[in-house]
Amino acid sequence: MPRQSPFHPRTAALCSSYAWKEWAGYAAICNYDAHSEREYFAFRHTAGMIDVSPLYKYDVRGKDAAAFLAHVWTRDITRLPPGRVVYGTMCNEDGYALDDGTVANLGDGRFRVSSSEPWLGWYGRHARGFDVTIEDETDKIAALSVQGPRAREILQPMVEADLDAVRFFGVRTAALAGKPGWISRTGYTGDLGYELWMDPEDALHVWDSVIAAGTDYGLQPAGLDAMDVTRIEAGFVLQGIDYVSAKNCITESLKSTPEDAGLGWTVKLDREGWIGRDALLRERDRGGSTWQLVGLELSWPELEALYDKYKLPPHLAPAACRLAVPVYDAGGKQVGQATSSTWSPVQKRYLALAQLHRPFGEIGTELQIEHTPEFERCRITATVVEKPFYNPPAKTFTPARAAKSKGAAA
Amino acid sequence: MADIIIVGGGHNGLVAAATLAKAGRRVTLLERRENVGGVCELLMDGSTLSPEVVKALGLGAAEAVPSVVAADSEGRTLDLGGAIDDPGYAGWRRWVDQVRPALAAQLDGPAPDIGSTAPLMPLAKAGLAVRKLGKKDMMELLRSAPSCVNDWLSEHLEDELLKAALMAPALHGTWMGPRSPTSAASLLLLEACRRGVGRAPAALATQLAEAVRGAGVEIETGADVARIRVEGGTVAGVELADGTPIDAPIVLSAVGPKTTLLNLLDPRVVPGKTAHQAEVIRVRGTLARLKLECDGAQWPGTRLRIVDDPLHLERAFDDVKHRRLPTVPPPLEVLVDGNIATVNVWNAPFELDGGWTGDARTALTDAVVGSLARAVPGATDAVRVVEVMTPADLAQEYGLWGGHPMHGELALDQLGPMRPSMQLSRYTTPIKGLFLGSSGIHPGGGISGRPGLLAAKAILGR
Amino acid sequence: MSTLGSKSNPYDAIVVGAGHNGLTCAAYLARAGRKVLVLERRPLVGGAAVSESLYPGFTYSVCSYVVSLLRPWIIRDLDLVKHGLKIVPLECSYTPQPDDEGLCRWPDPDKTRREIARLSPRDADTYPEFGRAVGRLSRFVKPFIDSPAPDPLSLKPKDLFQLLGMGRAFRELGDDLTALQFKLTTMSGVDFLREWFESDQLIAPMSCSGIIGTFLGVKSPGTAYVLLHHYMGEIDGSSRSWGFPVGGTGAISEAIASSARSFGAEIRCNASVETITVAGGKANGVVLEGGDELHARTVISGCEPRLTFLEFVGEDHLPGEFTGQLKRYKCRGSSGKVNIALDRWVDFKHRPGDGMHVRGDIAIASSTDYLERAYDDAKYGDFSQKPYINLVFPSLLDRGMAPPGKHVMSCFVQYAPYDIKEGPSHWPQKREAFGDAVVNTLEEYMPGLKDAMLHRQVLTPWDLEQDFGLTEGNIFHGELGLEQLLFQRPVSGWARYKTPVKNLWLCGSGAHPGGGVMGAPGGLAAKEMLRQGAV
Repeated sequence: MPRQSPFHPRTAALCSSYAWKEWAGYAAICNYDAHSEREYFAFRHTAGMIDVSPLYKYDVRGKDAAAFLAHVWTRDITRLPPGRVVYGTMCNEDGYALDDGTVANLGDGRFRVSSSEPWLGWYGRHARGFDVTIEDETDKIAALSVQGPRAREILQPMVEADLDAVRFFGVRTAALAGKPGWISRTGYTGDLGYELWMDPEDALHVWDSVIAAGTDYGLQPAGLDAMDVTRIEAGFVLQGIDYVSAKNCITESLKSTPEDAGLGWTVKLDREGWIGRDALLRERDRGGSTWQLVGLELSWPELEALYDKYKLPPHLAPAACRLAVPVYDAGGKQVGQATSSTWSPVQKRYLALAQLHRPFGEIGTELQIEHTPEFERCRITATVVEKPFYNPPAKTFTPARAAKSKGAAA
Repeated sequence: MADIIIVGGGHNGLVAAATLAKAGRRVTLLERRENVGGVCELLMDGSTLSPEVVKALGLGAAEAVPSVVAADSEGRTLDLGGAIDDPGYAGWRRWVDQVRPALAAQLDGPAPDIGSTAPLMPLAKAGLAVRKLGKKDMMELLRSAPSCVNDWLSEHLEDELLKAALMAPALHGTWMGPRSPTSAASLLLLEACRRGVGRAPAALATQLAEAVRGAGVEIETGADVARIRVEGGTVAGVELADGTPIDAPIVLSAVGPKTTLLNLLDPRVVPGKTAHQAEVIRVRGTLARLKLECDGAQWPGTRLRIVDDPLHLERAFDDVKHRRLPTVPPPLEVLVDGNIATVNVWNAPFELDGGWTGDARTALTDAVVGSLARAVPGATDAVRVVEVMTPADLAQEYGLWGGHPMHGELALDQLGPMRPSMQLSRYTTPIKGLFLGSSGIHPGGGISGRPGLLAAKAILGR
Repeated sequence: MSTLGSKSNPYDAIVVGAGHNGLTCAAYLARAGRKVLVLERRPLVGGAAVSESLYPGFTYSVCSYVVSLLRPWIIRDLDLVKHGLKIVPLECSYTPQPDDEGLCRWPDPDKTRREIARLSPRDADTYPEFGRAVGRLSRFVKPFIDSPAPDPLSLKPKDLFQLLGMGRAFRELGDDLTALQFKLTTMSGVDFLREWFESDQLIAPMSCSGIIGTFLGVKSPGTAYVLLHHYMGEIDGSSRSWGFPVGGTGAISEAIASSARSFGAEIRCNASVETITVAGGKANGVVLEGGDELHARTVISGCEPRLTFLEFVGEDHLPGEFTGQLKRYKCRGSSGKVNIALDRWVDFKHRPGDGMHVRGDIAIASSTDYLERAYDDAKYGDFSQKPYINLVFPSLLDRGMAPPGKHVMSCFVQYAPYDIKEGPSHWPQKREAFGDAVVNTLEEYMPGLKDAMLHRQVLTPWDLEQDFGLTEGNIFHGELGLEQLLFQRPVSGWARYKTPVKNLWLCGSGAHPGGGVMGAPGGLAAKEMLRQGAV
């Protein structure tokens, strides 16, 4: 039976759909209402709030904390200044991706690592020779993600930090509605957003304060289904869906290198001394990854025409689809699979993330994707397009910096 | 600048040094202690020295060493070099001699690569060498090797003292008792290694050192290597404890693989998998060494094995297993020189519960003296303890991880291509220029010199 | 026409012993249209897989009490579900500790993770990784238990292909798994697990599976590979490998018997075979106690090999070398069984209630040292004063096993060496003392147990031999040691169910792939006989 998150008393009371699922051992809400649309639009137009306490979180400290993290993660954590967060990948020695996640430098030699899988055993095995202590703080820190264009306005009155000055991927120690905690400008929706980190004891108080502050702005508690649509729009991969951690792969062919998983940008091969580098260097010398993760846009007119054949309107799943669907080249040969797909309600486009053999991932390549109306296998055109599909300026815009550069210009 | 630095002047380091120098390489050998030879002065069986090593180093002929006499607590003695009247012995010995070549063949060369990308031919050849035995012998080998040595010997022999005397040395360094499965394989391997009467290990150390010097190797004693330097994934040399760097493009480590990979290298240059492989090498030492001065003892021989029967060995192993001081008079290996007895106890657990305190040391000494007194007439009188080295002392003095003189327990999963791991059993490491050549590597064991020889050949054959 | 079984009208096959393997073999042969007779000495079928009511209202699974790895192809081929077989999974593995709540491993992986994290957070993370690694290996091992043993010395093309296929599968494992496989087959359970885990409280119960039915300790080399079995359930298509048959273990035997009968097999109980008759080097029937002679073209023994050859056939009919090998076949019994009827539920001291934690198997195995000390007692000819006990409450899994509110406790106990120092025939005098040692040990974990006991049945290895025909009380018809597996089971050269006596075949646990309620030896033997046209 899954555990209850510290926010459970509030989230359970609001969950009229009874739609829960297990997330890392916790009960997590898929959607509060029968349909996640309202929650989705909150994320996109005002702000949505989602309980992300089940994320695995590790507290890493000690003289070599940064060096250790730079050893196990692809990013050079030794150059991560206090108050900054970085997104990265963790590989095994064969160069296969184990997980992706964030590392936050909280200052005073203390780091917080969050990931989708538990890694204490792995960290322990690779900490030999590093002066470092690693503690699992998953159950000791509650986390709330407030995402959406109005998140800053909603949170500013209740957070003791100048949010105008918190840059994208910044983190601050801050009182949250009077309780000690941290706020980071991070999230999984590809828009303006913050994550609040706190003692589980204070979770309900903080929840209530955010609700009180946000209701007038249209803030909505949201579930995983709505967030899933937004993360696909934002082009973010999900471990376990778009790629599978090498730790969990039963066969070799299931494993992905960072490049295969669309995480190649988090890898700098010229930096030495991190796990997986040697194998990835060898792969590069062999000509590099033969896979890539790309964005696809499915042809809406063809989809309509397809359903029209059955005298039906296009049938759209109410949530993002996590079932892998085969993708073919023009000649009908399978060249990969779409791992996540969704209808983008704001953009009115049908989007997918796909793992494809090179060179079929070139922008503009026209491919065929399987679609199954009325139990019949058909194919429609899918075109490789740029990611992210949705990328509003608010995601990275920082008012204080803008004002400063404006002042400087004046 | 040297072409090759050898870390550790034990017998394998010496063999490797001489082999490489004879092939024209400039070799520097660094030994932490004041004299070379390492654990040769601890071990008592020189009969396992590889004939190839003798040939390669041009060692002189062996001088005959007296045979081992087994003695039990009831005063019975049995000269293992003499006529043995157990009716099953001749048959057993004949069979062992019959399969010896097939087994020895597995020990003479590098371990076959059993990895998934390895070529199949060497594997097939290794298989064929064993198949040459013929169906019956092979079946017998496959049946007996995984069994326990007590069952195996009991199928052939009746004399309990004889059984115990034959199996005792095969159990040294194994962390097994006579009733542990696969212990029969240890005896088979030991018998396969034995060539002739062999040499006294202490004399052998001197011979080896002479051969090494004669070959032009520069030996530095008192040179404590603190770390092996690696730059850009490649060996650059070593650094001594006093900070002195010594450069060389190749380092051959003849100290144990655990020490080499976990202590002498920066953890960041050792791949996690390799480090894990080193971490899980089992090295639970069980050896303690005493020197006793016994006036008036009537020694039944100069090389003694004091043991009652297999049950005695099993009970002594129970003490090891439960990490406790001897609860039975410990079986002993004794070298007698005048009135000085050098005693090896192979049932003193390094991991003793409570640690090797002064009290524990005294208790061990008393147990050893008691055991000696039971079997050797006159040994009770005027025994003076000259020296006691507990497993902890041996670990310290000889740099043995876990106090294990073979740098890795002799167990089926730590032998052949698995010694010390699939990746490391062919003398190379993931670090370019770093080679392993101690008895922790295939074919391992006591004093054979083969790991050193094969490691040197691996360097020369690059 | 004369009656079936007479000299002029022999059976196609007589199976000696109606254990689950004998029955399975008979069912396969009958299904193929052969006239088969199964002879059972006891009044009921099942051999060591029987349910009996020894106290009114309570049913004991007398010997074997849980089922693992009953081959799915046997369940399908023999339509066992139609014949009444129902297996419920064991939910949980609980290891109580004398002074704290101990460890539960639950079907819910996250709950297990949290339990283990209390002992070692690192082990908690490693546990599922370990399961995946070993699970991958079980794919490699599965063909070994579902086909006749490979013969490394045969040069027949078929055998070479089988070897080649296995070699290829081995290489496809990749280096890490190859090394793992090597370690699994040679290491001790404890040493193997220590490469992964640091918590002794976790290692102890995990290592136990390797010693069941062997005369070895958890630190003896060669005890690691049984760990694989625990991860094989998954590739058999169920999430858990251990189960409990509704109605007790006897229900499995009855289902197979019912299936066999439906195919036309004849099963006769209270028919004790005294001799397997051999004429001109060929087996041709049996003589029963009382002198009745029955004739068959083929005789198949589901009994232990030494019993079969040295008692039923006789050395006169056997090649000397075979007899010699057989005499060296190790069959040392090491375990006993205590079945208890309880008047009421008795709580575990530190985890009260009859919840999910006790609806699985419960291991009295507080540490590896505890297990090793239990072994030490046995090594020197005593039963363990503080034994390893594997405990199941059948009445929680099948409420029909006891009257409402009352319970049955099934305790597998190790070590109880057959060859105690006074000699095996002295076991009857020590039987109750052995039972007391078990109950006293349990009382420490379950205070009040003694008061709630209505009845207890104590089975020593001597009883297992005398009552169930298990030579030296060995539950697997011969130890599952490395040297007695695969092509060496029971003796090298005769691992494919055939024997040196023509028309005499083996189909019991003493044949490949060995013991446990798998049914594989019985099923594979029948298939092999049919393939060779031997029946």
